[in-house]
Amino acid sequence: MNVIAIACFALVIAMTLVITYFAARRTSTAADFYVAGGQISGVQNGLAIAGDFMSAATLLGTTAMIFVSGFDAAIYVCAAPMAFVLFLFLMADKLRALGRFTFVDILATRLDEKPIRLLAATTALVSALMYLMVQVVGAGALVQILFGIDYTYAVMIVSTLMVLYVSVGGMLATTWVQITKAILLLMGISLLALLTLASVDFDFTVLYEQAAAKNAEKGGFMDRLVRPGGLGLDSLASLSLGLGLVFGLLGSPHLLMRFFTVPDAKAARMSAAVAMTAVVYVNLVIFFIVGIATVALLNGNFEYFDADGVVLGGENMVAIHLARLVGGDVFYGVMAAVAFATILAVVAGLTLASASAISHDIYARVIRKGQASQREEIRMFQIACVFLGVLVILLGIAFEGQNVAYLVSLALAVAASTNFPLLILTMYWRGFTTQGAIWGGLVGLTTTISLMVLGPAVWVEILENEEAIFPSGYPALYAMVAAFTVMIGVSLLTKDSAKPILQSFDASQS
Amino acid sequence: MANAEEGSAAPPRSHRIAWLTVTISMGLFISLLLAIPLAPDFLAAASIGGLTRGHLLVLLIHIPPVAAAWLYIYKGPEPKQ
Repeated sequence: MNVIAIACFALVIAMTLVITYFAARRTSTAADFYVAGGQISGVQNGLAIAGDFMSAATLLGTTAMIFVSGFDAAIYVCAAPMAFVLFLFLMADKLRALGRFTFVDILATRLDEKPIRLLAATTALVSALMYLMVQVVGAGALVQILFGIDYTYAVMIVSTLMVLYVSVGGMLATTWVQITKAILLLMGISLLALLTLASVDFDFTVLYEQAAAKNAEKGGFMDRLVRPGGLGLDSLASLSLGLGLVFGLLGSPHLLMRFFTVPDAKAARMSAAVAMTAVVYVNLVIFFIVGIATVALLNGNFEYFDADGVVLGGENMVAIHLARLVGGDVFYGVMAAVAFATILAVVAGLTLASASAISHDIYARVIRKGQASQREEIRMFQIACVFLGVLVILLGIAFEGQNVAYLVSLALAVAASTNFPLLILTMYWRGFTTQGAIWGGLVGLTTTISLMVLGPAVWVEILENEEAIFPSGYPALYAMVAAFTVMIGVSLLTKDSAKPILQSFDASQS
Repeated sequence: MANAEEGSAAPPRSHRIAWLTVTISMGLFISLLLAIPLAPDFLAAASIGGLTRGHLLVLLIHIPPVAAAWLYIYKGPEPKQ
């Protein structure tokens, strides 16, 4: 167990608890809990979005993917700027202008409220919960490796902290935890890149030549860092993965919700631009320096591999091992704490989005038909947070050691094929009807889940069948096409029923 | 698009440049997605500055959209309130 890592871990927890304490003193209304009263500035919100978006998968997963699969990690890296630029150009203004607490509020502005809230809150909950579960299972394993804490206790610590931040400090605490994490991550990754470059006298050529030589030894016949093919994708799988990532991010409830925390559309635009700049910086540093350095410097260094040649703690640890190699135990401790802060910020954002779907969309608007008092809604929000915390602990323990990575692509595919088409058609197509939304949303949701179950990740690896019925592990593109087709087709067939709802929507916009 | 909604005659030049940049970047992203399985040798070939074409493409997908985003923030149309 690394004493410095434990000290940094304790410092991160202490900082976040202090943030929660002060946030709780300024959080009392439903608007405070859901959107921090809409008073976060554009730059603050941009950093918080970056903190919300960059999960452990960005810091540890992308580096590991470059280490294992080489150039193909570019698909994951390039999806982020595309998503953020579309957020800015297509959605930021309208999200701020039309939304109140959740993205479902926007749909309910112009579509029949009860069915659309039930559907969209369900899809939001499904995608956020899947994402949350992956984060918590990953967090448990990571905290166990980084700090030597037992997996069960690690899951309980992460879940307890996430419930505490969100249920006590609401969106304000979540925002500042995410800002703190984003700053820590930006500083940590910059220092890691600097120390890495210093170890090769700031000569990129040396780094790349070493990486190419090591990669050639490992691969035996080709340099995967420059020659694509490490993930073994065909063209449809590649398109489905890439577009699923982009549109999945555009439909992610925890990211969408952040656009309601700023006072106006200008600040919403600024949020998207700041977040994009921060994410692009981190992505490029990882893709061009840190990822390459793991191949160049770690390979052949037996201190970081076991007797069978497997990376100690698994391949997701290569970024942390690199930190120790170039910066010693102190920097290892710092980067381990940064990774932990990364996890906390993301799970807090996901918990907030999931709890809001339960308390605002389902309880306050559907069950209580808008008659719940502010106090009752806040109480339900806090109950939902505790419920989610307990659920996540139970699921985290049940799925210990399981490969749940496919749930990330499933979560993003659900968001891409339900939340995103519902939102974009609501915002841009006046002919969109409630029937089109309901049928298209259901088709998107069921197609995604069916194709994932019939695909290799579940049908072969979990259910142990010999061959997958649906050959691709990336269903997003197919489900999106199906959802859009049904939404547009049914809306055209039922266009007469849309008129009264459209008129009320237009009136609210004028 | 935002300008059309606001009823102005023509979008400002900076706004058109920003949109064009984003459209090209999206096209490059889709090209990258298709080239990874279909044209790996093309991406692996050397390009300028010691970079491969693939690495250059990754830079082109990242840097111009960020510039376009800031151009849009400071020179784009006022958002509809």
